[in-house]
Amino acid sequence: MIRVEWVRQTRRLRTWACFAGLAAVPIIFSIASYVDPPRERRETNVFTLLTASGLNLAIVALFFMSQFFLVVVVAAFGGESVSGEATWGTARYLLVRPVSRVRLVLSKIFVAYVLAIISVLVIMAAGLASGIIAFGWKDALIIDRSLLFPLPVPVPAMEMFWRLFYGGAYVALMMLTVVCIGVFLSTLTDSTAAAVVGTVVTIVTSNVLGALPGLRSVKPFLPTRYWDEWHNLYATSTLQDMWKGAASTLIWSTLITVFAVWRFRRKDILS
Amino acid sequence: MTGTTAIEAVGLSKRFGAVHAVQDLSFVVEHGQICGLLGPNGAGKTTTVRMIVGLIRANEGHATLLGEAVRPSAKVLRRVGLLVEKPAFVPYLSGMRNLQLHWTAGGDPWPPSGLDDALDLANLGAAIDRKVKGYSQGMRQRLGIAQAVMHRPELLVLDEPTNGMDPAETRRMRVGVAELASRGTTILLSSHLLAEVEQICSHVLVVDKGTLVAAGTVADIIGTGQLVDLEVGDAPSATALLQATPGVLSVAPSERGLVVELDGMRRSELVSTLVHAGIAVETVMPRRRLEDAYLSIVEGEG
Repeated sequence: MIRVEWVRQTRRLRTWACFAGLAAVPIIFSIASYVDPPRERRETNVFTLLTASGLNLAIVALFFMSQFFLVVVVAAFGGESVSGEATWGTARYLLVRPVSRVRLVLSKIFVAYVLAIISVLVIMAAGLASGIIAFGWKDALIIDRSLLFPLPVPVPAMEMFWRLFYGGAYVALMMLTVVCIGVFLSTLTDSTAAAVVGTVVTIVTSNVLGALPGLRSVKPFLPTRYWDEWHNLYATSTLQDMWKGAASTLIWSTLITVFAVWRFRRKDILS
Repeated sequence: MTGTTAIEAVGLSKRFGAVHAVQDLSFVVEHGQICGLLGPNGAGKTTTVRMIVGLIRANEGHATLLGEAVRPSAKVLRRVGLLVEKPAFVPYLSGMRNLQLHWTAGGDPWPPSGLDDALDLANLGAAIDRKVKGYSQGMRQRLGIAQAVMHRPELLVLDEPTNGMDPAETRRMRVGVAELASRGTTILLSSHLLAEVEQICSHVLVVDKGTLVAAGTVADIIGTGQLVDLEVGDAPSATALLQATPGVLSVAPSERGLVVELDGMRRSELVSTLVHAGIAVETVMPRRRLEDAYLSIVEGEG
């Protein structure tokens, strides 16, 4: 079933259009930064350092895309999975083939997640390639937060490359929650649009709650609470919250998957 | 094959909120039968079909297919072919690729044993390698039937199989379905085309408002009316004879001969009576068709 789902998704124009869109934004970002570099500012952040090296630009591209665009694309992969079968009417034929409902949901999650990982790789590859062309492969700058005022400090290119790799891996892991929410919602509705929008709204709501000044007791349990911890890879900060983020994602994803399977096993297939 | 029952439904009921789609529905389809499932729109035919293949959970009752209890994704479904409501395919893949993915999704090696026969029945020619989004409704329907029969199922459940087909396609499909039945495939055929059901089916189930209102052989269902069109060599003599024969209620002239209303007498007995009296019988046909019988059953229920 995984191979069947893989063929169905990779033969689809929409999948390639999503990858093309994800690749295009970092490339446009590189061109824009090359043509009109960001001006010197008093404060130091990842954006002010993006022209220091092609690696810096790749980091900024990943940072920028992971905030929303990547979430929308991954929500589309997850949200369309089961509801897409309902839209086409193919679910009933798969289930009487018969394909077990548990296997169907797990296969959908697996393939949607592989597509999410590829999406992250596409962003990183496009950002790195266009960044190196524009600003070269050279030592990068990260932010030293141990000082009173954050200042840029150099990091060897190869070390920065591995930091970028770990950052991408962390973002990809965070996307597992988005995939699982998307698949869960697509077991609740036959409307792909509703499942995709519902997934994005869920993530945005979690981010908004996380940004509110109050709600201290709730924040550690939000699915997006630790999403941005990978930013510390590009500063001299502690990385221990990344482990909490990984644990939180795995717990959330497991719980949501269990709900998705439970729901789909009991669902009447009317489409 | 285990026993002689292909489909058994026992007290099936399904509610959607306050609406009772199917209520206490029980029926049996024996091996080798071609059974028509008739009923007006909203009668519960599709809900019934979905319950017996495990797509919908019954609130009450249960069903067995080929002697095995039906539950979602039951193994027995591998021996069943299904076309329900309308065929469904991934539009951006070719017809053949759709068949292949559908088949391999079940974990079996491609191709299935009956693929060539199924493709012959579908008669899609080179179009089988074109994307499904370019297919007409009739072509999709034929591909749907190919998908349902490509593994030589023991039981075939078809819901409006000739929907969208032109007359030639319809006829080809009817012949194909009859051939499958002649090889021992049990067929449950849900259709609005009563002439089609009358031509293909040996048995009929009539459902209305979610309940079974009639069941039996096509001849039994049609025969309840007892009106017979008769063409004979000597109409006056036949009229006089039949008016004096027990089991005949009335005899009246018609455009083609006589209309005889029987009261319990079988058509074979009617012919025998006339032939023994030396009256040649050209044709004897039930005056009611399945359509008449169906309408009187359904409207009588209303």
